[in-house]
Amino acid sequence: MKKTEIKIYKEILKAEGEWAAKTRESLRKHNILMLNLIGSPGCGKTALLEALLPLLLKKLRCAVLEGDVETARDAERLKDLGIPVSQIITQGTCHLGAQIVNKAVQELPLADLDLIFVENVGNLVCPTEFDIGEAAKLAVLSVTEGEDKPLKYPLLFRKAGAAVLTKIDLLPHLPFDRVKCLEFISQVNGRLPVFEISALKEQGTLTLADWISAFEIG
Amino acid sequence: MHEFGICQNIVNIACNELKKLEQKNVRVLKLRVKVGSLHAIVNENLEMAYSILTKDTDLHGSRLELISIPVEAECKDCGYRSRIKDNFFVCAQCNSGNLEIIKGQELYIENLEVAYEEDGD
Repeated sequence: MKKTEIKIYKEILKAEGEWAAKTRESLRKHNILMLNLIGSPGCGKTALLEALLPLLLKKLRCAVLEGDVETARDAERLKDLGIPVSQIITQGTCHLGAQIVNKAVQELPLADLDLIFVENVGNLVCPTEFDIGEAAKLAVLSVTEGEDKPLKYPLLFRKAGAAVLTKIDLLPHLPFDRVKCLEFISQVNGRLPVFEISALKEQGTLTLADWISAFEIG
Repeated sequence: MHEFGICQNIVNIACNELKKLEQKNVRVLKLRVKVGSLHAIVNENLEMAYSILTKDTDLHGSRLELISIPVEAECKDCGYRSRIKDNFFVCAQCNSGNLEIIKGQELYIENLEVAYEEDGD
């Protein structure tokens, strides 16, 4: 028997990257902004959409892709807005893959859209690893989760185009150290804009809606 | 557990490469993967996924070797290059947070170590 070493040098996520590139190409053709919302379960991603969409719909034509491990509950919550909402059920997978998102995007009426939100599976770790063709990731963190999350999950805050701190109306009732949290975010990514939001009290939502409306697709 | 998804890609790529080999009766001993430390990959999870996903493939019985690459960044304000420790993405020279990652985002298969029979063995 002989032994030998075979050089390979192949990107492991190349296939995913190719699907993401296809999606990006379709979106560019139709001049659509796609934002990928990533945050833990219960951090308020759907509530954020419920608060933002009525504001954004005044200027932009929007659609939502809802990623969930099971059930279509989130999609049902958004049904009354009268916009295209597609549910992607991953059946146990912890993140949305680029191929399944590509298929869901192609099924949307792209000629009639300006903005697509993807609400990723509730998880701070896995969805961060996968490029799905979005223009930017939004890191969603609620004040009920603890201020050290940006340090524990730095990849998301490095890769995100903006961070959204949600449920700030609860701050008076929590030991959450807001200043520390902002410091940690800036320590991980000093260039990251941070939006502080209460979806329930409609605080800060207008500022974020304006930022999204003005977002230039790179 | 996104390590399973990542691992499935590793197995697909490596099995494709093996099909291209001219050598006969190839047995894979080791597959080396370089992982930038910025990836949130738990080595044990990836290794477990590898042992499960390589069953019934040409990679069965081989070992997954994971080599991690530390994170390095360059300051866009002063140009200083430094290694990032403890997720502190702030320039060690000028304290700026305007850093560009130059190393630590890699995720690729570097090589395969194989044993094979020579003609006449």
